[in-house]
Amino acid sequence: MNIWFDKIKNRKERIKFVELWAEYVRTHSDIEWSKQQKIVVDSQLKSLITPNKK
Amino acid sequence: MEFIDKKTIKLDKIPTLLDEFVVDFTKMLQKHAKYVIVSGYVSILFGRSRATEDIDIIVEKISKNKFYDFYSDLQKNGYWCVNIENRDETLRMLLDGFAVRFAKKQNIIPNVEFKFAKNSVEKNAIRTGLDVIMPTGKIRISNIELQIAYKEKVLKSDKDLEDARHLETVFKDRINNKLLEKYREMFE
Repeated sequence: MNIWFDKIKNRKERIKFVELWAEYVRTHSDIEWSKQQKIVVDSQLKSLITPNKK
Repeated sequence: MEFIDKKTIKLDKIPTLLDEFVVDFTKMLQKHAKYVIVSGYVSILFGRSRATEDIDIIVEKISKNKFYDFYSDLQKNGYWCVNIENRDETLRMLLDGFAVRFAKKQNIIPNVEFKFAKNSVEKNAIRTGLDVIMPTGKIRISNIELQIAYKEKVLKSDKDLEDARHLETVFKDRINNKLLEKYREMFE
C-alpha cells in the first residue's frame, strides 16, 4: 500500500518537474536553456556509448 | 525559438552531441529521400532533459537505385548498418516493413532507427512535418500535435507521457488544439 502510494507521489512530483523545466524552456532564450540541457544530454549519451566489439 | 511561418521553426540552441549526430545524418538523407524525425528526439530537440540511444526516422519509400546511392553516401561518410551487413539485405528488410539501424563506424550508440513509411499515419507525418533551422543545419520533424497525441495515446510509457507533457507546455501558445484533439480521437 505504502509503496504504491510512494509511486504515485513520485510520479506526480516527476511530472511537476517536467512542467517546471518545460516552462523554463518556453520563457527563456534558446541559449539559456540549451547550455543546461547540453550538460545533461551529452553526459548521459557518453555514459551510454559502447565501442563496437566486432 | 521562433516560428518563421507555420511550417518552420528557428532554434538557436547550443547543439548537443545528439543534435550534431542528427544534423550530420540527415544532411546525407535529405539528398535522397523525404523523411521525418519522430518520437523521443523531437522532445529532446526542444529541451527535454534526457538523452536517447536511437533517433526514429520515417522515410518515404525510395527506388532500389536511390537507396543504393544513399547507402554508398552513408559508407563514404563513415556510417555502418548496425543490424545487417549487406546492402541488398538491408533494403529487403526495409521493404518487408522492418527498421534498420545506422550508426557511426565503431559505434552502436547513438543510432538512427530507419524505416520506410508504411501506413497512412506515417505518410501523413512526412507530409505534415516541420522544418527546424538550427545554427548547425536544417532538419525535418513531425508536427507537434501528432507527436503529443501519439505519445499520450499509443506509446503511453512514463517517459512518453513526460515527453508529451513537455511538448504541450513548451508549445502551449502555438498548438492547434483542434488538430491535437483530432489526433487524440484517432489514436483512442
